[in-house]
Amino acid sequence: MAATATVKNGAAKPAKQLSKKQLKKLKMKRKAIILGIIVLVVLILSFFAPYFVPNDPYASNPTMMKQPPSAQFWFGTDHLGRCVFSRVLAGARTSIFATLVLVIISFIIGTAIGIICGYYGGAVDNILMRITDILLSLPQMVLAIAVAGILGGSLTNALIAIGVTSWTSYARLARSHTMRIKNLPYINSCRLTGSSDINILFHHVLPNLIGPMLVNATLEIGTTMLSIAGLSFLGLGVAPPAAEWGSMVSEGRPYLQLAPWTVFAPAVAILIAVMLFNYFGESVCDVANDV
Amino acid sequence: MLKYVIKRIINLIPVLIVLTLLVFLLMYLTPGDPALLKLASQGANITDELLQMEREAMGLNDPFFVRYFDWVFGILHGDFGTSYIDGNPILPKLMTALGYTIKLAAASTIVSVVVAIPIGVFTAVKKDSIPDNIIRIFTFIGNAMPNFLISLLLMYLFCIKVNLFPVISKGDFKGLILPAAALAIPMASKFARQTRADVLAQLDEEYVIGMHARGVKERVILYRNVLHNALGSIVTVISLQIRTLLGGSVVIETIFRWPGVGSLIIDSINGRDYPTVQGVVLILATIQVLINLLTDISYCIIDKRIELE
Amino acid sequence: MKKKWFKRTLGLMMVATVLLTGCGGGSETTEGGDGASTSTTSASDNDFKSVETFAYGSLDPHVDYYSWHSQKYGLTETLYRINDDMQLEPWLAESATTDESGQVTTVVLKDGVCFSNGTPLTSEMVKRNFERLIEKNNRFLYMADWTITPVDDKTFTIDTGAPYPTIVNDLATPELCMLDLDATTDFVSNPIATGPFKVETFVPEGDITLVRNDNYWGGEVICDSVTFYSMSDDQSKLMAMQNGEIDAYDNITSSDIELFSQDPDTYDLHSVPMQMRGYAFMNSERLPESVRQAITLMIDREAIASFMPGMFTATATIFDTDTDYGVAQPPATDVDKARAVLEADGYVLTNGVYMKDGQPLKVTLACYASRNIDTIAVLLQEQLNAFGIQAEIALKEDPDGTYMTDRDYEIGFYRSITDKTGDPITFLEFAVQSSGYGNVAGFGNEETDALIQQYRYEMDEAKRNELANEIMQQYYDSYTILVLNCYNRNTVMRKGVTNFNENNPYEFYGVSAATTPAN
Repeated sequence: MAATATVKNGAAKPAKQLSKKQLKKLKMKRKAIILGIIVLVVLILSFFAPYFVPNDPYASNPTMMKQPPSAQFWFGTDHLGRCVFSRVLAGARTSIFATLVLVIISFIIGTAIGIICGYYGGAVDNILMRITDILLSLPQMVLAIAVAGILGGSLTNALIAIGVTSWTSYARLARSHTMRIKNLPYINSCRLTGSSDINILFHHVLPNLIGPMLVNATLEIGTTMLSIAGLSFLGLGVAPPAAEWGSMVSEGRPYLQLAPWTVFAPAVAILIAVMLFNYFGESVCDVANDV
Repeated sequence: MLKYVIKRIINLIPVLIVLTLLVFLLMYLTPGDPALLKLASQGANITDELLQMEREAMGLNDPFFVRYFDWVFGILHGDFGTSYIDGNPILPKLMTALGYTIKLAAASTIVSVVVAIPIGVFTAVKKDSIPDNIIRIFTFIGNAMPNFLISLLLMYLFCIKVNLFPVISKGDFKGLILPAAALAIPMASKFARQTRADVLAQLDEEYVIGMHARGVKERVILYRNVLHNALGSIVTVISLQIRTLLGGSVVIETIFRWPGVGSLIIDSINGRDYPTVQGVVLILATIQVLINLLTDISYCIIDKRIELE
Repeated sequence: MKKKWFKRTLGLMMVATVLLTGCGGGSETTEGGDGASTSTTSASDNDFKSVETFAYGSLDPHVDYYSWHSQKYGLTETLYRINDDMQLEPWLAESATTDESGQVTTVVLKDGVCFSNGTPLTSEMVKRNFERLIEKNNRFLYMADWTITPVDDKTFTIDTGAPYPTIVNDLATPELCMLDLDATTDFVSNPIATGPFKVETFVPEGDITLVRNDNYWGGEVICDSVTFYSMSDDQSKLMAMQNGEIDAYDNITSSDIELFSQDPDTYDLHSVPMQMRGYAFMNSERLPESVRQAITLMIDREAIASFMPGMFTATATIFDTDTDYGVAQPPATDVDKARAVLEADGYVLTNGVYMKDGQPLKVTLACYASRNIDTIAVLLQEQLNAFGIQAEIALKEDPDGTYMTDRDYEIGFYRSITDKTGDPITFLEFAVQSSGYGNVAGFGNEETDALIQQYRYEMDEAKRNELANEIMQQYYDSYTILVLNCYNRNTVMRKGVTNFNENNPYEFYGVSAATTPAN
């Protein structure tokens, strides 16, 4: 909110005083904030979506199979006569929140490990970094398929399967930032004045790296969402009849020619969601890099 | 330089050891008795005696480390074991599949690089022009497209609607085009965006401004200096992309019936053919380790300024 | 200014993508036929092309179930075969007669039967094929107790040691096919057999091409060659058919039936009920009898079948009810009675869910995605929920590696051919007998085992049927099985294609000498 206020003030005051660069910066900030608000609205809507679906997303109806889009069924019906629009809405929560949960958990674990490695160095750092080397060398999708195949298909298992490798990128980033920060002169003076490691980590290191780490996390949302959708599409995600975008595409695939809406409605939903998160991530990144 | 390369190669050894251990453990921990699965898939009337015989024959009664060393020893001799499903050796199958996957990965990477880098440079130079904006929208969408959506669209349009390509790909050139395109679209989008961003960053550098001032030709600046300096991060993106390519083409291989490692691993997992899964994961991981090494070495070559560890 | 333009274009692009993708599928159904005429593949006129869902690394027909495929390809043949009316008829054999003891069967081979290399089939070679099958395939270990004696070049006897009424059925099992064991050097990729076609190229787990066997004993072979592409994805099969790349394929899905039936000028559809049943085991160790009985009484099989027209017919029994051994039946659907059974056991319907001791009644449906089983599970789940039983679905990769072996399930879906060769023994041995692979619901007991043992050696037809019905009634009364449907064998053939075994209920027959491709 404060940022929007500055924008307004900036516009109200004589524009001549602002250089082209400053103007651009403000515009970028405004764009990021507007996108942030859109993302927030989408999140809230998708969270409550299952409560305002027009039809029961799980009710089958043998008289309404594969109906094209109509006033009653906006996106048509699937092979069991279920309302595709309602299922896309109901699936929004699963698809979007599964992604966010995965990003947040990998973010927390990765950052924690990265900070420890970067701050303490030595053997701990060496071992953990070799582990990330190895995990990074495992082909993510193949590993995820193997893990999901072994644990059995369920949303949690799919998240674990992707999570096994996804924390490593955060760990590497956090490590390099920590190494830079810990060598700053003021950290040394903190240490001299007797601050504990915990104190330094939480009051000086963490606040300094959280910004770039968050930017990285927002950039990861889109990719993560695509990975989850890919696993679901291969049948390694949610159990039926649960609505989830990736598995809806896979369920609708046999009806690609008879009822294309059952495939394209959820697929385009994924596309739009990923574009939104990517756009948001990039604009946050622009703002962060410019400051 | 040579010292650095040797050091990196020595560093690989512990990585590879842990890698084999991990891959073996992954399958070892899997629930289900492989002997039982094998017999069940043959539809035999399973008796305890038969089960014991099968376990003994498959070496399942040995302790963990004996089995692990047997496996690693076999691999060092080029023996990846035999498939649970058909009893055939895994290596030849793996190599054939790998050949197809590499063909697919190479074709799509080359197409992406050839298309994307000029586009990236062009859009950077013509920043904010109408072509730039149009291309950026396309690359933006391409970047966010789920690969199964691209595949289904391509297959639908070109196999059924227009009928340019056969549905039954025989692993030949004609069969390569669609899956390679499906892989190349998101990849080229990513490369083009990266190139544009890198070139833009370089264009703001003082040396470029200086060269302009000295009257050096635009094209020379662009290709000899700017692109060269931007290449480092582009190579990173490409090498990261290869990692996704080797494993990530699973969906595309399944849809287009391309007989690569993706199809192989899906089939093996469905058939609970763990020795094959182990083999695939290990080979892909090893290739990735080598690619990482090559990437790091190529940094040195492209940009001598990078400090060697 | 430029920003605004950018955003507007972005919006337009999104709409365009949606429209493009949305329209993409709108009108294609009529174009399937057009595709065929402009086919990109140039097949010579006399080649038959089809697809195979499961491609294996070996052709060796004595191993595993590989013979089911080699026989379908027109490569291997057996002594007897099952015809379109499910009757046994001689194939490589001329006759088989069992003596009065029921123990010794004399088999006479047809004159002139020879392998693709011209070598005649002898009774000595038949004996050696028996021996190789026993050695290579665990499922036929029981034949090791038999004594096979060649009488002359074309005659041999089988002494089963005890009365064995189903001997001729065994002679028709695809695994017992005849190979030239002397001439075959590569069993994996080029077994030399008696069929109308011989292997040209075989890619393990890939495509197979066969060419005409010029020495075929059974008369003229129409096709020059036969190709089966390995293809597990239903969508690819469908598009390959629409694209004119294949002539015919079987086991098509319900959406394919719908698509092909819209274009009767291009495609012929054939549907025969096959002896494959879809059913669910109800684990007696996890679910009390009242619940299993209630589920048996409340299920609406017709409602489930109505979603997948043509794929299967609803049925409640393991065997066809018009056979003499298929008289036994589970109770008919009766929802009121189902509720009464549950309530008698102390379940109370509260807020639409049956509760007992403060716990809601919950079941998990273990299933796998094959032949619409996952869809059936979703529909059964809905019925159970509406009835008052909270049901959840656990989708597994395949049943055999999971709940069929560890028995960790409550209701577990499975499908199998229950009536192979016109006799109940296959299913009795598979699921009812306590040592059977499919005895996973806790039914098997000594009393029934004794009855099955008696059945196995009973020679009198009427007595056999009586025994079969008694055994099956005990089985149904245990409420450990919930039979759902009987699958149809659906085949689609391009106009002009004939004789792809489209009227036979068994999928292990396919190409024959009479198979004609489209031209």
